[in-house]
Amino acid sequence: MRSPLVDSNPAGSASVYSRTRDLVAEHQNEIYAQTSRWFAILMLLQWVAGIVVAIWISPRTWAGTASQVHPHVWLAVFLGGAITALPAVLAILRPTLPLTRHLVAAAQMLMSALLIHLSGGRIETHFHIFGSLAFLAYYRDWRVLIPATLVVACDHATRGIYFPQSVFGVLTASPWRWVEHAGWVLFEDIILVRFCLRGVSEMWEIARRQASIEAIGLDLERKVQERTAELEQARAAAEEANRAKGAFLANMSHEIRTPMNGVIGMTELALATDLSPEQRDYLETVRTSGESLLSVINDILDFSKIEAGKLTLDSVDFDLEELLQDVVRAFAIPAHRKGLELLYQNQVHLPAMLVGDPGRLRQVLVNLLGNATKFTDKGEVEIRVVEAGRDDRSITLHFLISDTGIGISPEWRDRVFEAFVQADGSNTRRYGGTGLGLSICSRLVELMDGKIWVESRGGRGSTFQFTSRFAVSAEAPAAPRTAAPEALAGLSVLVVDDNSTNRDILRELLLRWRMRPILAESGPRALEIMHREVAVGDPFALILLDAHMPEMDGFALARHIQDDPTLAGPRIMMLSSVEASAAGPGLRATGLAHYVVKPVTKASLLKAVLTVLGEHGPRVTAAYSGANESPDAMRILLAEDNIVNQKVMLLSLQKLGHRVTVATNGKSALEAYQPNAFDLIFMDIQMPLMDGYEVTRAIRQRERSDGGHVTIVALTAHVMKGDRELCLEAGMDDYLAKPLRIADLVSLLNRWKCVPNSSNCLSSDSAAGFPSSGPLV
Amino acid sequence: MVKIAWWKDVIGGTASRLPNLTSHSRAYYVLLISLVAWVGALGFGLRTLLLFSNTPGTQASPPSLFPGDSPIRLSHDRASLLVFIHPQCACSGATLSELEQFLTCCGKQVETTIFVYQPSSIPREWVESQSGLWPTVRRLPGTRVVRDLDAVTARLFGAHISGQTLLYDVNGRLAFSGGITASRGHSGDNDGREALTAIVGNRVPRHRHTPVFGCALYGER
Repeated sequence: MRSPLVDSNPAGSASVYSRTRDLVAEHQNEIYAQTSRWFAILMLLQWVAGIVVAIWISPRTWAGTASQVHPHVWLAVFLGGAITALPAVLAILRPTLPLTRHLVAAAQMLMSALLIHLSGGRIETHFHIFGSLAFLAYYRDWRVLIPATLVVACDHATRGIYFPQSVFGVLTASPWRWVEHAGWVLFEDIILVRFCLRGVSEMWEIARRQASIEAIGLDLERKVQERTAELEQARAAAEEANRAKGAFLANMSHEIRTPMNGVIGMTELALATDLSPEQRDYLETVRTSGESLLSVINDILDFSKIEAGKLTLDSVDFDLEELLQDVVRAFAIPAHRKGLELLYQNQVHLPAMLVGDPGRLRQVLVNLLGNATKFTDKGEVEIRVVEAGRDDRSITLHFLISDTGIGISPEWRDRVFEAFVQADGSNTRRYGGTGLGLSICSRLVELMDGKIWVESRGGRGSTFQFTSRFAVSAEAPAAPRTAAPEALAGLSVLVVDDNSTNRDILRELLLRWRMRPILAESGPRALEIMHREVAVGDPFALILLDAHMPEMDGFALARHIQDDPTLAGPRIMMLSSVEASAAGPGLRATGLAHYVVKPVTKASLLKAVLTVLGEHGPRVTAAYSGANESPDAMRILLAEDNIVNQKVMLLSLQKLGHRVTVATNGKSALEAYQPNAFDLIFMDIQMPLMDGYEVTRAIRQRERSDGGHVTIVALTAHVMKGDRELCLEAGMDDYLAKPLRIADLVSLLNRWKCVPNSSNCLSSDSAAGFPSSGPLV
Repeated sequence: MVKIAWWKDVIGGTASRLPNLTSHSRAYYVLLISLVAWVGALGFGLRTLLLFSNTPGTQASPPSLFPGDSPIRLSHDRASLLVFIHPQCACSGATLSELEQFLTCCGKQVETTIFVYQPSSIPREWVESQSGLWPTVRRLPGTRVVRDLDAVTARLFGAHISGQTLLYDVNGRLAFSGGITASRGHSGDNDGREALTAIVGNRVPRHRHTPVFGCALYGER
C-alpha cells in the first residue's frame, strides 16, 4: 500500500524510499547486533560444554596401567577455544559487521563437528547442526547460511575423500555420499532462506509504512508551519492596523477636542459677561451646539473603540449612592426646565463601596436618563434601583429608567439597541443625536456582565432597564448607608407634594426610618392637617414642602406657616427642582431650615433630616453654599502651549480669583518652577521642547532633594485608556480633560484647595491618585 | 569487480556504512590478520583431530586357528566372538556400543566373550570402577565376561588394542579380525560391524580385517 501523498510527489517518493532504506538498515542492524550477542553467549557456553563433555566422556587415554590426559580434552580446550575466539570477540565488538555473522555461521558448524567428535559420534549430537542453522536464520540474512553449508559440505567432502570411515563408517563409501549429507542441509537451507526473505520483505513493508507516515507527518508539520507563519504575518498586520487605528483615534480625539476647548470655554467666559439678550441667545446656541458636537464625537469614539474590541472596563472602588445622586442631580435642572418631575428611588441597602467602572456606569445612566428627558414632554422621569441578586462577594443591581414620553412602537422596540438606529428616523431630525447612544449602552452593559432591555407602548412612555453585577469592595464593611439613628423613630412628619409618586416615595423613606409621615397633596390641605394635629397636641417636628405646587406653592406655604404663631415650631425643608441660588433672594426670609434639590435621594434626604433635626452638622448645609463658592486664591502655574487653551484656562482661573503664571512650553514651565512658589500646576501633556511627562518627572526629581510636593494636574485632550496610568507614572496627581468645563475646574480646585502658601495641598477625595469617577472617556 | 564488492560486503560493508573499517584503516588490517590466523589455527586443530581420530592402533596378529590353550573353549554350534577391552579406555565405549547393536540383531548366532584387562598389581576395584566400562560390559546381554589377568589371553590371541574383536567359526578358523568402530571412539556405521553381520549371515564380507581404534591393552598404544 503506497501513500497517495508519496505517489503524487516524485520527490516525496524518493525521500520515502531513502527513509525506508534507512529504517530497514536500522532495524537490520538491531537484529544483527542482538543475534550476534546471543551467539556470543551461545558459543562461549558451547566451548565450556565441549570441555565438560570431553572430561566426562574421555578424560584420559590408557596404555595398560599407565594413563595421560585424553587428547580430546586438549582439543576441546584449544580447538574449541580457537573456533569460538574470533567470532565471539567480533560478535561483542562488531556485532553488526557482515563478517561477524559469516564467521559465526562457520564457527557454529565447526563447533558442531567438534561436539560430535567429543560425544563419540552420537547421532543426537548431529542435531546441533540443524539447530544452529535455524538459529542463524535469526539474522534474517540468508547469506549467512552459505558459509555454514559450505563448512558442512567441505568437511564431508574432505573426510569422505581422505577418511571415509570417519564420516560414513566405511572405508569404501561412495564419493557422492557427502552430497547426500549436504543435500539434507540444503533442504533446511531452502526453508530458512525463504524464511529470511519473507522476514526481510515484511521488514521493508513495515519500514515503508513508517516512512510514509513520517513523510505525511513532516508534510503536515511543514504546512502547519507555513500556515502559522502566514497567520503570524496576518496577526502582525492586524495588530499594526489596530495600533494605527488607536493612534488615529487618539490623534483625532486630540485634534477635535483642542479647538472644542476653545469654542466651549470662550463661550462660557463670554456668557459670564454683560450681554444683550440677543447676544446671549447666540452664545447659548454656540455653547449648546458645541456640547452637542462634543457628545457626538464622544459617542463616535466610544463606538469605534467598542467595535475594535479595545474598550475595557476599569475595576475600582466607588460609591454607587454618590454616583446615583450625582447623575440624578445633573438632570434636575433640565427636567425642571421641561416641567418634568424627576424621581429617584433606591430600594437597595447598598454596600458601602462597590468595585466596577463608575465612569461607564455613569455613562449608561446619563444616556438613558438623557433619552428619557429628551423624549418626554410632560409627566415624570423616574430612576429606580432594585436588588436582583446578591452573594458574599457581589451584588447584581436592576436599574429602571421610566418616563411618560412618546414611547416606542413594537416594531422599533427590538432595534433601538442597534447602532445608528432611532425609533423613528424623524426623531433624529427632531431630537438630534447619532443613534449610537443605546448601542454603546448595550455593549457597556454586556461588559458589566448584565443585560439591557426596554418595555414600552407607543405614546405611553418607556421603561429602559438593565442589570449589572458589581463586586463588593473589601475595603469597607457592607453596611446599610442610610440606617437612621434611633432619634428619628416616632417623629411625625408632614409631606406636602402635589405629585402622588413623590409623596409615595417620601412616605416609603420616612417609614423605613420609623418616622410617622402624614401626606398632603396641597398647601391648604397641609394647613388644615397642621391645625388639626396642633389641636390634638401632636404638632409636627418636620415639614417637607414641594416648592412648585398649583394654587399655593411651597414658598407661600412656608411663609404662611412662619406667619401663623399657632403653627410655629416645626422645621421646614423645601424640596425643589431648581438650585437654591436660582430660587431668588427671598429664600432665607421664608424661614426654611434646609433646601434640597430634587430628585431626593435616600442618603441626601437622611443627611438633610438629621441636620435639620440637630443630629449633626451645621444647620445650613452646603446646599446653600454650593460648589460654586470660590475657593481661596491659589498660586497656579499654567503650562500650556496652545494659545486658545491658554487663554481659556487663564481667564477661567482669574475669574475664579486665582493668581496664574503662564509657561508656553515645558522648558519654560520647569524654569518657572521653584519650591513653594506654586500651590498647583496645570500641566499640558503635549508641549514643545519638553512634554508634560518630562517636566513632571524633573519636578518630582527636584522635590526629592528639596522636599515638598506641589500638586500637578494633567491638562490634556488625550482621553484614551492608558493616559491616566501614564500621568500617574510620571508623578502627576490629577487629571482634567479638555474641553474645559468651568464646573469641572471648580470641582477640581475644591478637591485640591489648600491653605495659601502651603505646599501640602491634599485632595479632599483622595490623598493619592485620581478620583475614581475621573474624566476619562 | 563484483567479486571485490562481494568480499568487501562480507568483511565490513561499504565504506560509507562503516567509515572506521575502510580498506586503509588499522582495524581492517587487524581483522584481516586475525581472520588468517583463525583459519590457520582451525586448520591445524582440525587436522590434529582427524589424524588422532583416524589413526588406528597396532595391528593384531591373531592365530588363524582357535588356540587349544585358550582359557575358554571353542563353541561348536555357534561362532565364537572374542572382544578385548581395557576397562578404562574411553574410546572403547564406542566399541561396546557397536557390539550391543550387533548383538541386538545377531546375538544368538555367536557365543560372545568379553575379555576385560585386569592388571595383577592393581586391585579389582580398578576394573569395576563405575567411571570405567565395567558397568556397560556387565549390562550387555548374552555375553560372557572374563577378567584377563595381565592380558595373558590378549597376548595369546595377538590383541594389542582395546576394542580388538575376533570371530572364529565353529571349526575354529579365524573369520574376522579388527575393530568395530569407524574411528577413535566414534559410533556409527562401520566396516567391522558390517563384516560381522555378513559373516554370521553367511554372506561374504567386504573386509575381514579392519583397523582398531583404542587404548593399548598392555603398555603399548
